[in-house]
Amino acid sequence: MAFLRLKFLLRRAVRRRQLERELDEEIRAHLAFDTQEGLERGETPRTAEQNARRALGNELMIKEVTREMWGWIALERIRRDLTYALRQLRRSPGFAAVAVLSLSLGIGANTAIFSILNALLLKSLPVAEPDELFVLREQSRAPVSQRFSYPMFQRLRDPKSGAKEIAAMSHVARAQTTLETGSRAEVAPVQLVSGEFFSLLGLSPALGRLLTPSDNQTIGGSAVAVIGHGFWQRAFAGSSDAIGRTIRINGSPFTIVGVAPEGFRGVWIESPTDIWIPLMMQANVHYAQNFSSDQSADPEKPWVPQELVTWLDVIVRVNPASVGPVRNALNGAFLHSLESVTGNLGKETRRYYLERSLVLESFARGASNARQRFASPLIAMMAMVALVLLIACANTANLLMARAEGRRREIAVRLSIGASRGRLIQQLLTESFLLVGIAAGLGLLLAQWAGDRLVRMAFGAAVPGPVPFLAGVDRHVPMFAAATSIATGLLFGLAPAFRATKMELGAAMKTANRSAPGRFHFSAAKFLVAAQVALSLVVVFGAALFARSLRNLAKVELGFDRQHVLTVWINPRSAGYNATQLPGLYRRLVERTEAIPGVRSAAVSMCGLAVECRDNTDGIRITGYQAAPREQVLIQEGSVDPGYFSTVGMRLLNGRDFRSADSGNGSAIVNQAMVRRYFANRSPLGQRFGLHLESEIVGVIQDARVNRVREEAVPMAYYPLKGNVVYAGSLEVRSVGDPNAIAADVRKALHQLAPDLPIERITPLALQVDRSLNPDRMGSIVTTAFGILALGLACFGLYGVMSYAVSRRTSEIGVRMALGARPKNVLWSILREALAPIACGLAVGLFVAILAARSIASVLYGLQPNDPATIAATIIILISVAVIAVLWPAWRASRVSPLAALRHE
Amino acid sequence: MAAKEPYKNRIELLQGTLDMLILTTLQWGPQHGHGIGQAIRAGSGELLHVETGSLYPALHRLERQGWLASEWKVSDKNQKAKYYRLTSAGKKQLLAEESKWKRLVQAIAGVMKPAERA
Repeated sequence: MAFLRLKFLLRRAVRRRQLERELDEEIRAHLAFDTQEGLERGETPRTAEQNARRALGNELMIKEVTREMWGWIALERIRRDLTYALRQLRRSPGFAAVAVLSLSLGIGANTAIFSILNALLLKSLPVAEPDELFVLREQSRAPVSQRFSYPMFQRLRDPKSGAKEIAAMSHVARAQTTLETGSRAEVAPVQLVSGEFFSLLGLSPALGRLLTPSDNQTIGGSAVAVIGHGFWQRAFAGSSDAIGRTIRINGSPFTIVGVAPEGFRGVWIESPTDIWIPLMMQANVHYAQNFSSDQSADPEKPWVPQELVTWLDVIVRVNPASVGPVRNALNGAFLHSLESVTGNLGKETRRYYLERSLVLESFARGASNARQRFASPLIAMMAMVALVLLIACANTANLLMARAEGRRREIAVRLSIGASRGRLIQQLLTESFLLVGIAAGLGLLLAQWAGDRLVRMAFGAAVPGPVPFLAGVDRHVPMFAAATSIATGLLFGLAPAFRATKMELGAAMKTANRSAPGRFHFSAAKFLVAAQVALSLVVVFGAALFARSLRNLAKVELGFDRQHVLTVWINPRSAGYNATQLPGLYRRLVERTEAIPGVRSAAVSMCGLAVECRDNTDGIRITGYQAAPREQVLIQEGSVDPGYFSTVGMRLLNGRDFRSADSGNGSAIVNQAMVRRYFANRSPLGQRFGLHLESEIVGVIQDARVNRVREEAVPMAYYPLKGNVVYAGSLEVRSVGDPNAIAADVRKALHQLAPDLPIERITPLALQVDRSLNPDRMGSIVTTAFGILALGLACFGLYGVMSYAVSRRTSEIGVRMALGARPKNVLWSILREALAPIACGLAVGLFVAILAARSIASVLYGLQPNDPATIAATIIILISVAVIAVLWPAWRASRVSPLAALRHE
Repeated sequence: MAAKEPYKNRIELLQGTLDMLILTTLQWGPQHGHGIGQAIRAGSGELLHVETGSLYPALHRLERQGWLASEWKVSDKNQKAKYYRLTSAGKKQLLAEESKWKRLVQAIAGVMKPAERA
């Protein structure tokens, strides 16, 4: 029947005109039959036809009414069911509100988390055939840079290497950009790409042209730029005269030649790109990040011709079927050229280079640093919100069943006057889906509101600017929401609907509403309660783990003073300062800052604190330390002004601080981790280390978590800023009092001193540390919210079931009280009834929770996933909530007056 | 001849019974719209007259429900016409409608009895 209906609908849609013709024909045939009969009765043809027409009536009207039938039944039936369902819901607004609210929170939370998960883990790049894209990665036993030099890219690009389409690209850099029209500098994400980049991705321009290989021929030779669609809208209001305009990127002028297509935000998921320029322009825009260089290379010279500066990601387009052969060909070319490139390097270094091979990793979803970091917490959260939705489903199913009990007579009457069971189930399901529909609408709104906020919370706040990536809506998100909603509707709607319509008619008709035999309902309800308790225990446990982990992180001893330090984030490189100007700039910055009232001291440093900024060197030699074979002697390095350590509050444990006489790498201060690792049982002072043992240790500084709060100090060495070419990232300022109070003065003074020096932001160190914990905080806030929600729902479910149980037993309680039972006994008997499902739920939930918590062990800090204190706290929370939920109906039962209860019957 | 029939001699169809009458008529074999109308009229002793404006919408609705199926055939009078026939779902529906109808008749009869007695 459903099939016939579907066939009819299809026919109607495709062949409406044919149906019209058939209807004409049918009416004509009717007239013909009537006329024929008239003729047989002996009428003249004319009269016969006239009579037939008269008998037919208004032909147009008949056709119109008939036509209505074509689409009428299904729509009309749905409309009637919906009206009826709406009326039912309006009659119990409390039920509707609770159900819709809990479901919309559940669906909204699921959709919001899914939209983030989708954007980060699932969504393909909006380019042609994303599944054919691969990125080249190096495999090696030792950690390697995973980046390529430009000459290496050229050799891989050689047709003999086997790759048909291949392109190289830098990371995304934040650059100072100025439009020639005199607008103020804006920080825009810029990516350097080879000429093949856009054609490899199969993109065509929204306006003008995209970069081509001819744009990427000579170093510094082609100052052309392609801008992103969003940037075009922002900066040029989408005007076509953007083409040919000049844009300054870190001081260098570029001519805009085209606009990338709408929707393409670059290939770095969390860094949407505004501007693309040729790789050849690396030195012109002072691009210097995410690179590795051998000591024999010079990173201050243009990188393009240098073999030993590796800075490029290489992507290829390969038919997935021929990945193997292409990989082998590329690998051959790669090793062959490594062999010749490393010919004059030392034997050890050479081995380091040659022990590698290439692999092709899928690039369909683009590049992302966040993907790996956020995958497991996101999946954990997804599981948690799914549990919350399940709880909401259980709750709604419970409510629906309770309602169905109340509607037994109505349903029985409708069954007995001939309504089919299927039809009634359809009707009841319509009601469920109406609930889900309303909830899904609200949920989507909620998801949209929350999605971007969560992303901003997790990624955005550490670096100001637009939302780093859109959690937003592609076709997957609405599909997910719809699928979730339908599954939800079926989950909580189907069982109650089947249950409600399965009854002995006679019995149901005879019994009154209130004392309906609800035994089956009651045991099902108990089961649902146990499930809710179990599920919410899992969610609450997760939330408690996240919360305690965040608390541990916030309490970590950082090794520097976050209370009295203000960090000024500067970028002299992008402002175009050259190496000879730097020392003067730094001296003036410090002098000017220290002159501000309320400033105790100031110092310039290569890297700010609590931010990912590291410079590692390996192959370090250390006096008196014998490295094991294959051991990588790797240290993190920093360059700082004298007085830096006291400015940021890192204690000098031994030796002395830098003096103004210290210069270059001759003297170094190392941290405790370095001493522990490489100078066990030796006094480090006076010892030497370095690639050529060029640095002498003059002091030992306390360990500090300079990179990430989670990360314990790694062996680290500091050198004086002076005498090294260092583009500093931060100016640290120690205040006498609240660092916030001097921020405005510092900004003003620095702007006067060096108007051309971009100040990216000024943040108190405490705030910077705080922001670096944003992902953890997001995890904690979200899971706590879900934990509370889950508890609330479970509490509500328990309360509902116990209230129902009490009302069902009112007369029994009355009898017992009349026979002398005390209120206390009644109270206990009711509590006992609730205890079994609660205990069951707790036991099952605990088991599941401890198993599930293992999967988030890697995101937890300072506690194990089976932390006993957290387990105890969770159980206590759940038991107290459960007792509160049960106590009120139980207390009401103990107040039952025997007389009233007996009259009740 | 339909037009000559005096109106007062006809009985208005009870709401919802037209479907049942159509289904009943078709259980004897496929028939076109005109034939169905005639059959009902004849079967009721000329008392029930189905308006064309009710008959065709009803036929299309029943086809839509899946209770009827149709095909174009040429009649014995050499006229091409759309013939309706009962589907198996239609047969079930007919049984349901019949039993409903019997109950209704009994119920009404039950209500009417006291009046007869009096």
